[in-house]
Amino acid sequence: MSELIEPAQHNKYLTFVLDDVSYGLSIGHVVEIIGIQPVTPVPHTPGFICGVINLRGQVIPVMDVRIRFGMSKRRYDERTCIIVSQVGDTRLGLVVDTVSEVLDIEPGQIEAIDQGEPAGVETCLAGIGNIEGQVKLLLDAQRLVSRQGWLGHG
Amino acid sequence: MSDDMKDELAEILGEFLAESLDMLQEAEGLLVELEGLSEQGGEPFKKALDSIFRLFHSIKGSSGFLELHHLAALTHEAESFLDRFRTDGAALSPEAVDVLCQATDVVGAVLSVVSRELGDGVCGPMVQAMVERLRDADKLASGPEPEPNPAQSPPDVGGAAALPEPEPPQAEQAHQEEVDKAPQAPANPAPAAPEPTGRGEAVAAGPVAEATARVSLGKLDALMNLVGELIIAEAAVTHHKELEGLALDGFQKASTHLERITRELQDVAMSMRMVPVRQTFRRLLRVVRDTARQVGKEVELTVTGEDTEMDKSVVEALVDPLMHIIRNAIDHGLESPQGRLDAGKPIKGTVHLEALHQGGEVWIRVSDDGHGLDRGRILAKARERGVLRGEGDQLNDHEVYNLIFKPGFSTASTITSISGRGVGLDVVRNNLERLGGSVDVDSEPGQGTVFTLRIPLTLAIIEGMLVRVGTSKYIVPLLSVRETLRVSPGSVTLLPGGQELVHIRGRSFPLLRLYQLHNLAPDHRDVHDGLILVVEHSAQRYCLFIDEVVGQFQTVIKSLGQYLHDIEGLSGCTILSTGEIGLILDMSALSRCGQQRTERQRLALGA
Repeated sequence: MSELIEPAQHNKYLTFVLDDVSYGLSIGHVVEIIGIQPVTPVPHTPGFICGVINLRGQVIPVMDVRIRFGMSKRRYDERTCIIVSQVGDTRLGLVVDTVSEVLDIEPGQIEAIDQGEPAGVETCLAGIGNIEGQVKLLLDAQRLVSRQGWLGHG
Repeated sequence: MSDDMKDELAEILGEFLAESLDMLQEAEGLLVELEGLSEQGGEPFKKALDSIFRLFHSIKGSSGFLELHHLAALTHEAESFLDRFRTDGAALSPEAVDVLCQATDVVGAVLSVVSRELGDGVCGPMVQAMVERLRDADKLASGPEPEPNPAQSPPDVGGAAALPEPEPPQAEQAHQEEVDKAPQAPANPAPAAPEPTGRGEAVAAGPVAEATARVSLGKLDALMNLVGELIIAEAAVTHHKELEGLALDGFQKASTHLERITRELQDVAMSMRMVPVRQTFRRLLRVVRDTARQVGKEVELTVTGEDTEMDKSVVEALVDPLMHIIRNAIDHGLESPQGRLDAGKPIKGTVHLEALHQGGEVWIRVSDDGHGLDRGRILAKARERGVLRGEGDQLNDHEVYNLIFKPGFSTASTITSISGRGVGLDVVRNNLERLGGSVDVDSEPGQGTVFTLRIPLTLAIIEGMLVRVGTSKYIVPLLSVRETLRVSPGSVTLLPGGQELVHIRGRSFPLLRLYQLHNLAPDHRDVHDGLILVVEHSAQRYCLFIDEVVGQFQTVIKSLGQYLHDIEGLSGCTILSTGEIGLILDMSALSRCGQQRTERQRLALGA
């Protein structure tokens, strides 16, 4: 991870929204952000894997983060975005309700959390950021894209 | 050493290592043939000895000026030993061939070390031990002869290194000159101490090699990828939706021309990766020899189709499966010498290796003339291991024989130290299927067994049939497709277990409803309204129920990526000219999927 993030990029997070909750993903893992586009379903994958998309000739798998976190599925509209993330060798698109801004969140503003039960949101959280009273749930990218999350999702 | 110097050294050594490894493999192959040739004697034997000598000599020369002193010493000793038989006319015993084989192993080990350490300094003890063995064998071979000239020891090594050896380009030239010369008798009989460079020792040259260039596999891979992308991009342009319905004669002509050039480019790119299987088969000769000795049987390996070409990376992937099958054949397939005599067979067992092109595939057959497979014993073992339920009476012989590939079939009692390190035939089958190929076995009781490996000619591109189910598009490898047809109402029977059979011209085949398997909303649910695709995999036929056949295309295989690479039932995907993604079906997994689904249904019904 450290080779992806230049010193100036540490502490910068891309924030996005699911329902009314705000999440943050370290921008070191963000390759690009695109609008929602047709997804080709792939069989034998858990419900939170929508399928694959064709991004300028590249085939990229796409995950519906709402479903991954156990929320209800939401109809995609013009604000729905796909965050193309890269974690190690894995490139994965994340479908989110809408993308907000890039924020600076210092380590001092982050509260650690206990890892909860598997498969829920809790296991994917790296910490809770608190900026001027606004709470951002910071994601652990590694855990988010880990195939371990497939267990228990049938 | 500075980083720059290290890089330079690594580059020079890289060239040397690649060439030396090739030569070593060749030498190994020749060594194994040597025993047989020595019985005949004459020209073939002489030629083989000369070739092996020349290979060691080459390595020695290069290692000399690359300051790989231990390697130089070792190859020098091997040369001297070879000369006993080459020029002194001593008889070549199996033990001598053993020692030479060991020497090639040690050379290989040293080369490994060099690739890691950029030098052979640490190889001293290993090389010294081998040198001793060579000297001992030398004494045995030469019998009561005067002690080797002391001047041939260490000073010789120093001599080789201190030779007024020119820089690499010149030495390469020298090597080329050697190769280009017509076959000549060795000019210098005894391996005297201060040897001149390769130029002095004229040895019988092999056939004149055509001009070649060494290219890294990485670059070839990159080229194939780009060609694949080009084909997709070209289709996207020439079949663009915006052009639909327009009468564009000039554009049409230009597109056709572009298409033709792209196809030719693809052919050339693919052919660059093709290598004859000869080298791989040569390595297997060694396996045959070693295994035969270990189990105390006499075996002859015959080979046909050595010139058959295959994608280089595919060939590499086949070495392990082939080794396993061959070891198996020799260890379990062939009878003991006594057993063979009792059966009225020649004492020497035969293992035959054959390679041929068939359709868009390469077929490799490994056959032996042993006692063949025993239906009864296989059924018993399958039942015992829980691989088979019931009596298995309804299975034909071919199906019974192929039970040996089922996971769990081979266990500790059948895996000796020879045929497996915990590796079973199921792993062999998995490896083949991962390459998009297949393996099956057939047998004549009492007469022998034959394993057939089928591998696609290339991993990057397949001829595919594009089919549609609902809004989803799939590619079925054309090689697997036997027929497409419509059936009339009433052609499908539902078995009590949940599986469906479709009846075509008096025969019945398992039916797989792709929409069920993949949870899709199809156009048609009644079989007679849609299309049936009769497909075949590993000599087994089954039927796929689909909505429509869209067309037939050369498909560039794209991986589904790190995240989804191991999805069961899919071997990749492709981008269609419309920009849509088509999933490529894995025919072997598909039939398994169908069976598993039927099982789950059955369990769910509590049947």
